[in-house]
Amino acid sequence: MTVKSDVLHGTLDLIILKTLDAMGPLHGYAVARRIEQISADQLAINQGTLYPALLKLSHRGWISTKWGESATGRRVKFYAITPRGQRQLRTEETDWQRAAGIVTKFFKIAKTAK
Amino acid sequence: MRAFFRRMLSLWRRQQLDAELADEMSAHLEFAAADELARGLSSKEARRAAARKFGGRLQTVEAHRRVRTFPVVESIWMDATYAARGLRRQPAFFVVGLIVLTIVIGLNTSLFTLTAGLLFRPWAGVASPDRVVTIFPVDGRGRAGGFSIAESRFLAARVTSLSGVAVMRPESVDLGYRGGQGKIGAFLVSGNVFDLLGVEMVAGRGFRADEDRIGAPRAVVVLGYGLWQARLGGDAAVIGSSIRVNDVPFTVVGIAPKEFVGPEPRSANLFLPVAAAALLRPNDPAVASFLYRADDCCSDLVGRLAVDATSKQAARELELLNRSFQSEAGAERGDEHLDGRRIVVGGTEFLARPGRKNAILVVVALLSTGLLLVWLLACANIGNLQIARASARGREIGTRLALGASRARVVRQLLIEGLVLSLCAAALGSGLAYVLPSLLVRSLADGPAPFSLTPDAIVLFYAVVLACASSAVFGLAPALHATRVDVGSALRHTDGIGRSSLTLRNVLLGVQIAFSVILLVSAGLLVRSAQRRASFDPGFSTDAMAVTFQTPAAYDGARLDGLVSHLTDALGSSRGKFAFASREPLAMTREVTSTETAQGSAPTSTLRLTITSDYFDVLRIPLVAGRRFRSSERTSTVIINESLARLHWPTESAVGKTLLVEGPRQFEPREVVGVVRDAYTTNLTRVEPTVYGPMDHIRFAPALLVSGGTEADAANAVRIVAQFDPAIRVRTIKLAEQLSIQLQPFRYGAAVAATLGLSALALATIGTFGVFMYSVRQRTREIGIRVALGAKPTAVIGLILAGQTHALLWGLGAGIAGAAAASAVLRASLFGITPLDPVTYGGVVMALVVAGIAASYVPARRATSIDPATALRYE
Repeated sequence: MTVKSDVLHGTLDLIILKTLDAMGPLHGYAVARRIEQISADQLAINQGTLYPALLKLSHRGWISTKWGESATGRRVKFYAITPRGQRQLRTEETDWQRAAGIVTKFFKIAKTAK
Repeated sequence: MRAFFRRMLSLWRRQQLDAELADEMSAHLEFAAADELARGLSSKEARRAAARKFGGRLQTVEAHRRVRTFPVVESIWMDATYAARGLRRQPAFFVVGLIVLTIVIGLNTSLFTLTAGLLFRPWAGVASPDRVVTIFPVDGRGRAGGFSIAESRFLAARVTSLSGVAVMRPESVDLGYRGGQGKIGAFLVSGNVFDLLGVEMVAGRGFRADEDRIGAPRAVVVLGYGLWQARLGGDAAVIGSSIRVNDVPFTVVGIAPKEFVGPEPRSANLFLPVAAAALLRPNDPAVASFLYRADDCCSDLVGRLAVDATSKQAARELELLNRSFQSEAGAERGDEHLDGRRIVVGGTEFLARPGRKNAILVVVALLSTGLLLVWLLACANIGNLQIARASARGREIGTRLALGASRARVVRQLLIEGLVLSLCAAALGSGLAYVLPSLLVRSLADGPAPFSLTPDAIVLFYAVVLACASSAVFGLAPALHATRVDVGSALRHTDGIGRSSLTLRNVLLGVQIAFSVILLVSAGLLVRSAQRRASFDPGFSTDAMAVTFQTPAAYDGARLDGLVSHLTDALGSSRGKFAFASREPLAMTREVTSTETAQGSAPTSTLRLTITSDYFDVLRIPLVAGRRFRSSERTSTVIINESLARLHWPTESAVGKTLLVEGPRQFEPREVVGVVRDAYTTNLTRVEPTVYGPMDHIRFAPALLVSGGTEADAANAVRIVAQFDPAIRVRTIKLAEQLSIQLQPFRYGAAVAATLGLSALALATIGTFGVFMYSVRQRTREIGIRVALGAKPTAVIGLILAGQTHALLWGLGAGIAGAAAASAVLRASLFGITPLDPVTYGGVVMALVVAGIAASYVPARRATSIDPATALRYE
């Protein structure tokens, strides 16, 4: 079952996938930290919302989970992107670019019309 | 799809997943706090900052759970566990409901299993069973007959759309092996049958074609698996050894596989070549009749379709061949017996036999209808209990509704309670379906069923569907009813004095009464007609006893004459009449001949019996005209029965006329000296035209008939025969017993109907009892007030009954109307009574009145013993 996610609605999913794609397997807090760093604290999300999102992604088979140990020796769950997740990420990326491009174009037209 | 399964899966792992999430979240918070600590916050502030960034933990858990499962599914699951707890709190309701539903579902699935196993399964143990066909001639009235052996050979030699044709003819034989004796079922088969069907022997081989040459019989036998296991201990060394069949040694050449049981759904014990019939019953004219006569019947044929041939083509070709055989045989004999037949080629399942379908499907349909009615009755019963429970829980339901639960939600919850109950019952009921059918078959057929009776997936599916349907039928109306509470009054918990809340209960009560009337009347009619059939007058006296002899094969006519005169001398001195006949009444075999009135006129197929002079006295068959045989009767005279007389001389007296009876070479003239009343001496369904000849030139051991035969007479006969020759095997048969065996199926039918009817009565009684009991409990306070004000006990009982009278009367009325319709359907199965038999209807009404009194006795006692003081305090 592939779900074509709504661009705005699925933003968090996209961000998580991209993060895991770039960084390799991470545990929940590391994902949250990474998002925080990249967005330079501009994305104000409750970190708790990450976990349902991670669960949803793993239900869809886009990420895999595995229990392991953190650098400090704490038992944590690691999340890694799967090949299916990577494919999904690529299509979503193109979709996003296209959608963003269209919206950007509209803004440009609106500007020139002024 | 995958996400769906994961979600379903996580329903079961809820606690584990919750724990994992908690672990993950606490790890998250620890890391976050550590980071904040590194930034220089105090440990307390660091923890607070981490928690702030994380957001609502409870929301996270809830959101997580929502993703994990479906909220609806989860709440249904919660409803189910809640229902299970609720049922545990009310064990009485649970146990009663469970027992009733289990029995009902179990019976329904058992019937389903039995029907599927018995009627719709093709033969097992044969190669490519879909190419194997059964072949039946069907007469003008749609009844299936059989072929003569001669015709089967004729067809086999010419047919091209079948790669082969084989005969399978049931036979009953005496088996003697290491002391074991007794009549067992066997099949006479043509030599090619095992090759044609592709039956792989467990050991040894099947027959060879040269072992089945008529006129040159070989004494070889193939054992059925069941017999081999039961009587010979499954010893493979038995191949090549010899067993005695009808006291003739036969060499065992093979053992048939367990699955292959022959054309009937019961174990075949022995397979013998057709030609060997001449060895089994030497000198028996019936054997000669079926081996050589073209107009003999009743051998069943099987065939295998040739490559590319269809059963339709085969039927067409066989029909043409059949016609040409008829004209050949007919030209020889001018016999109308074979006319008007068509050929039906069908599969090998039990129902494929033409004419069988209707009779059996009617039985199955009647049974299913009966069981379905019992099922509805049970549902109505449990529905009533449900209402009682729901009303008792009016306060709980009222509270839930007041707290904002939607009606749909509460209805759903009540329905799920019912579903939990009926699914438990379905599980137990299908357990019953594993046990009951084989038990039933074992008790009816005296042995394990030779076909699989294990419920398959379809049966289990059926049980689940039945369970869901049950819970909907008994649950929906009560649930809707129970949630139609006025919240305010429910919370105040006032006992309803108004009657409107009892309507649904009364409707259910009425429905129960109606169904039980229908079931009881149907059962009553079947039982009564079985009784009538048991007292069925076969036209001859059944208090006589028949003695049959199995003489050693070497016996010739002279020895047999010696036996008969020895018996005559020995018995002549004892009291009581006796006679000899070529066959005892209701014997398994018969001898067919032809008779005509004038040379060249149309001959009629006629049964032939040879008898001694006292035959009609012993059997008390009255003479209609003419005289009996004298003790020294000449062979040129015959006596005929009314049926034959009507056929040949419809308008005039037959006595003194000349009847031409088929002899070995030509039709021989015989003088008719007497006509006797028709009697059902061959079978119970119809009287065949019969010609009786005086007994002379005995070639085959006759049966001895002794009037008023007792055990002593039997022992006497055995002793006399033993004096003559101990090697002769003697069987004594009480004719009454023989008759009773033939009436067995009707008794089984009546027993099944009676069981259904009685369970209906029991359910209806329980239901009525429940309604009265509940009504008393519900109105305790009102009754208390009335008693305090001086109401008499009769008035109180009247009060309780009054609420239900309408329901009872309506139920009774509707039930009688329904029963009248049902008995019109039953008409065909009835015997000797009208479908509106007053005794049955009266009896049923009486039974219901008695049941009603029994059901209301305890509640009425309780109502009249209500103490006003306690009642007014009753809450």
